[in-house]
Amino acid sequence: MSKAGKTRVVVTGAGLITPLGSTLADFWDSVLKGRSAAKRLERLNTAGFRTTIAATIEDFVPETFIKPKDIRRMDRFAQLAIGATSMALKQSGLKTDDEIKDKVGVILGSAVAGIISHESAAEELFVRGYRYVNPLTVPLVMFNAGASNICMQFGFTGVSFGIATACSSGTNAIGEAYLRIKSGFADIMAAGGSDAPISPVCFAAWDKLRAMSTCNDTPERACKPFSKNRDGLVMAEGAGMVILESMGHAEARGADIMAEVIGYGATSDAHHITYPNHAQEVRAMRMALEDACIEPSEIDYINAHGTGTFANDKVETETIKEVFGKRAYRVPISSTKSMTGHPLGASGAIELIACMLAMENSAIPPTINYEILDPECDLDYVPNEARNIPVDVAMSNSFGFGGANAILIARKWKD
Amino acid sequence: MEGLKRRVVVTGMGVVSPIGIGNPAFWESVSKGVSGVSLIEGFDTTPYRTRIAAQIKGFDPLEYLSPQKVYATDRHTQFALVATTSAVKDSGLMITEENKKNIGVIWGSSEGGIHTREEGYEMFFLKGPRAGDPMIMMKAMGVAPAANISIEFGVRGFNYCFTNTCSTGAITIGEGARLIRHGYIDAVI
Repeated sequence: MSKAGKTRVVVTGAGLITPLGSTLADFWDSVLKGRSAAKRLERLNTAGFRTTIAATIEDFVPETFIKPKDIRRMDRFAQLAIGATSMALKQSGLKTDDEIKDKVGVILGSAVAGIISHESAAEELFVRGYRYVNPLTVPLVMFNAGASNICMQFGFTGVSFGIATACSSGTNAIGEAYLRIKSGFADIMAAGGSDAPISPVCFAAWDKLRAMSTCNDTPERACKPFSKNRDGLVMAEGAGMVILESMGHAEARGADIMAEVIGYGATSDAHHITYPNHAQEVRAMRMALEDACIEPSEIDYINAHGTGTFANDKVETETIKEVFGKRAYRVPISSTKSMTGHPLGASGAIELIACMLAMENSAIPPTINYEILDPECDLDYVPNEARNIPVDVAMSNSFGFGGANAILIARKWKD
Repeated sequence: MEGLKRRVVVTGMGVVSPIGIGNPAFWESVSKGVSGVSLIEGFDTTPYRTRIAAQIKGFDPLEYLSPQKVYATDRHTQFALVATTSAVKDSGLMITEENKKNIGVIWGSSEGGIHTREEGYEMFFLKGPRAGDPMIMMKAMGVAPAANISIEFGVRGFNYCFTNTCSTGAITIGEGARLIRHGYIDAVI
């Protein structure tokens, strides 16, 4: 995707709300300690379910970020998105005056968007009847509710839309925002992902898909990416947002730059609705490397999609081997989902932020719960303990159901 | 607005609408000023304020798609596949090994697979968590139409679902045109 404009794109702010922590500092502290956020799911009645654990956020207070009268007009996924955006903006130091507001566009990825509100409305309709349906259901549920609420909250009047490419939504959102700035089409974009999928029918549907771990008695050890005894993902909720700017815009206002986004690749499997496709993952990865004008040897760290499902981890490993050749065995790879669980469309955004924190702190997150070597997954997954080594260039992988593959590459900012 | 300035053209169109399936039927209705609005037939509207909508009648997915595909897709994905088949045919585009990597899909939807979702909800809330279709998430997810178009036509550029309620269709076409214009891809469905 390297053919068009040459504007350099930098990240000047990042914010996240995750089950592991809701500030960059708390999140990073938990990551380095290798803490798991998975626990017994108290929020839903899971009687009869195969899986009864999830990684939920317990300390999110929407009033911290949103006026009380606006809170009930937003589904939890939009509230989380506003919280993450608010922290990202604060970090960026961007003064959102009238001149700036017109320049800021918003792209928010979400796999299931306002599903909690949708399920409540359905329950009201089917169980109690038409009169009980919340009249605000449409604006609560709509897929672009996150992006449009961010615009309303902060007064942004640039382009705004949602992206729904399942588990790669957040990565595609940041990738598309990056392309807009790179092509000279925008100067400032707020982009990321948010999902709050812990809702009765959604959780039941994932349960029936048999994609989730059933290690219900040891939740903190349930998500075991790349380990031979892995038995599925742990569902999570969360949000991650970054502020992207053209380098010129960021430098002109004297911003503190966190990292530069240097590459993006996106492909489609055209293969199967759930099973991943090795060849198209390879092509997305090569496309991102070509866009970044770097060789695989220059990548210091790969934040894997690493869901902990049998198929993903096997195919992702094959992909890395094909693209990286012999270096595949030497490049550190880790799955932060082993700790955060899988917050669907938010995961790519949270994981790009994890890559930038790795650069800032010269440390690589571990893949926790790594217990048994799988001959089909025999790379360096940074098992169980964080590693203190410098990271200049990092790659973040996301592979969504439906066959959407998305790769981002970021480089540490050096003045 | 720097970047390359490739010109972007439309080469094929397909439509599935309440006033016609296929371009000629649609245009004939538009020319004659035919309304697609009628009483809702799909569910009981007795308690509703509004009992009318513009429904697509006479759409039998089995006329166009295999029974397996019909089983595995929501109604909105079926519309997407039929409209795309018609648009690809209209364009004369031959999808080959050579060009399929450079054809992307951006399919927008405001409500996604809402039929499938609400059927799933009804089963869940009236019959319990064990009832319902295990395929619900795959059929209902926003990217289902784009994914199915990608699978059906073998196109391997990106597959995206952009969503912006009632401006969704305009955003998808606008973004598709922008990506071609800036040289990221050669064709977008």
